[in-house]
Amino acid sequence: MSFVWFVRHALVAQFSRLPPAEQFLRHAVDAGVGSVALLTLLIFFAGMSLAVQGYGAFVRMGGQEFLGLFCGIGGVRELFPVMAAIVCGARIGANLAASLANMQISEQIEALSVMGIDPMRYLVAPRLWAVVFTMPLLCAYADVVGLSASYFAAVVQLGVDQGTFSAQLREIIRWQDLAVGVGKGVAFGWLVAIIACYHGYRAAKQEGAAGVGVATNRAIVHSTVVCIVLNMILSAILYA
Amino acid sequence: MPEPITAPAIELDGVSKAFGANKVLDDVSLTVRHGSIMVMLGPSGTGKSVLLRCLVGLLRPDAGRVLVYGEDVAALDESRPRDRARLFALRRRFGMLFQDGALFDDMDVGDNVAFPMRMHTDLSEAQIRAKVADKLRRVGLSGVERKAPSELSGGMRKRVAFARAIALEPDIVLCDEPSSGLDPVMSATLDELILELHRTLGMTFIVISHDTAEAKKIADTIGLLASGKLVTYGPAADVFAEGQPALRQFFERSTEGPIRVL
Amino acid sequence: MSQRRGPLEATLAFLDFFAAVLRCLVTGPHFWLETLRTMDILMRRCLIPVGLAVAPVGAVIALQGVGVFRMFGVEGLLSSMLATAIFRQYSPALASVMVAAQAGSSIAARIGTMKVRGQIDALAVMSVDPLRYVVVPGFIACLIIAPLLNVLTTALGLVSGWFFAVVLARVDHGAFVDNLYSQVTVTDLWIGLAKCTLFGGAIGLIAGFAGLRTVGGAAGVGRAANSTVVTTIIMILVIDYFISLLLLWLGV
Repeated sequence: MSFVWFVRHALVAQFSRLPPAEQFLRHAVDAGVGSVALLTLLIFFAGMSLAVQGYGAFVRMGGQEFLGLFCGIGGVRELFPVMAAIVCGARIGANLAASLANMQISEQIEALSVMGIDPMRYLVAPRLWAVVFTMPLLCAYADVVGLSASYFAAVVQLGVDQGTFSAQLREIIRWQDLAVGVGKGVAFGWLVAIIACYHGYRAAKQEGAAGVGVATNRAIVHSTVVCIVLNMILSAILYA
Repeated sequence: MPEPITAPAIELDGVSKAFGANKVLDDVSLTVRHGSIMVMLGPSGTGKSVLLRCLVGLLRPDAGRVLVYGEDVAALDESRPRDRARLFALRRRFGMLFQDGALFDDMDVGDNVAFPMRMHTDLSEAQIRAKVADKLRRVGLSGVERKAPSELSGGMRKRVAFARAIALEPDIVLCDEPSSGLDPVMSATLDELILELHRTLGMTFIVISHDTAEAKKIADTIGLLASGKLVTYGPAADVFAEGQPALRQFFERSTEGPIRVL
Repeated sequence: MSQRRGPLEATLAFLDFFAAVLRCLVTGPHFWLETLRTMDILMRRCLIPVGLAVAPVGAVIALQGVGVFRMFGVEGLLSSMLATAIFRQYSPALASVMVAAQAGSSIAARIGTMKVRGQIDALAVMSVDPLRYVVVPGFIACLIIAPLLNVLTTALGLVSGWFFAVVLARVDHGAFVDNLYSQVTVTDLWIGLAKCTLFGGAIGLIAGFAGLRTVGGAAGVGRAANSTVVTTIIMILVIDYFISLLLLWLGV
């Protein structure tokens, strides 16, 4: 089963009919609410790191007053959405891949087909919708948490002037930037979900437990790499 | 025939083990003669596998002593370095046939069988290869050395696992449900294999099973474990003659009797 | 391994586990061949994903930096910012995150699979200590490959940054190269390598721990791989932050 084949069928299943509300909701809550704590923790530290590291770099060149610019651009445009994608690739993607792979090796997916239920429509489509819907929200949330963390680190810990920092933030961050971050979230979400479902779906029955491990591992790695590369391409198109 | 050794291979003395509120072994005491074939029967989920795992220290009983040639396995705590070393040394007297074989996926058949020899002996590669071929021949699988475990059928995997279990010609071979998941002919082949190895190598076999035909065929000592209690235990001929109700129920495949599952 | 799973119990069990691994490291026997084999496998698996994930970072920093530095007319300084960011921060952190994603999850999945299939028990019954045979090799392998990969990703990050800045954004090549090393010193490289070694070792340990604690069949294997990646990424970011703070404070 090739990836192209899988994507084509998944797209057909995804857009032919909207998934049942409770299925969608269950997966959306699972992906979204389940990731919030992890995301908050990670983005908070990433935001603080950004400020501390930026400060360290600027101090050498004598330009620490540009820290606001640095955090605004580096954080909102790049780091926070990408971090959100990595975190979700690791958590949501791995969960999707592991659950589908487990269903595949315990013959549950075959059982569905035998019962005349299209697994693409029943299993894959609701998950795709759920993650596509959740990821942009998580990205927007990541922007808020990350910027607060950078602000906290810069102003409280490093003693950068509060007025300068926030003035620079306001100056450099436009609504378009936030929109781009959220838009990246949609793309990342769909990719994380489709890659994870593909690897989970492809697990071979004979492999048993090993198949679940392989699917999980591949889902995490492929979705991370794809999101980072896609981020670069999107940034190059939008900002260069 | 094996020379008479008086010291028992295994002695259990008041062994109990519980998982939470679930008493899996309840005051089990028994002795396994050196060079005998002991078959422990019992319905599924009654702690037969737990019993086996207690013998090699994979699990520690909550109470009681597990003597292997006079040494108490239950007293050894795997998390204490000195006990750990002792435990690992003691385990070299055992070979174990796991329920699903537990062959290593990332090694081919030959390497799987050679593994214990590579780890514990100084044999040359040529000697190891000869021994691997010999062990595989004994289980009726000559020439499969280069195959991957995933290419084999369930019965073949089990026989390879058997070859690995006897690779170091251990004193005691533990078999966890050798016939589960196999067709009757393959099960019978495995039984023959146990008898054959017992005759030629004189090992002690401890077999966990719910297959009564297997028990009749190979056992010289037989036990029945139900709800964690050792219901009956003794020389096979005596146990069959005695006609213990639970045992009779087991052999007659009846739902009526002391063993209740519903 | 215990079945109870409170956070406190897990922490204590992890400390126990850590001590046991250290003991295995100091005392023999060591399975060097198995360690080399593990390193070889992990290196092959990590090379491409780690390279692919870290290389774009240089380009993205250059891309966002060019605009700002031009605004202030100091685009020549772009390369020193790029070098500092890559040497000290992004290459070590991202390389470690990717090692966690690839090597960590595959080690945890492999050991977890062995656990649920009874192969770990089989090792123990054959008197081969699973800690020595499967955990320690993974630990040593991660300890070594993470800094090695960092060298590669540092170079890749600089090259991709150079490519974007000089080839695409037409920053002057001479200025770029001249300023590249104006702010970074050999110390920065050492700091990056030390961080990677630390993170790599922690990844190997956590993966081995999660793998050995796997329960619950195939689904458990997925959980072990997943929790390894999540735990290690948290650990990397949190520790990295405190290291940055410490270095800033020390003025290194």
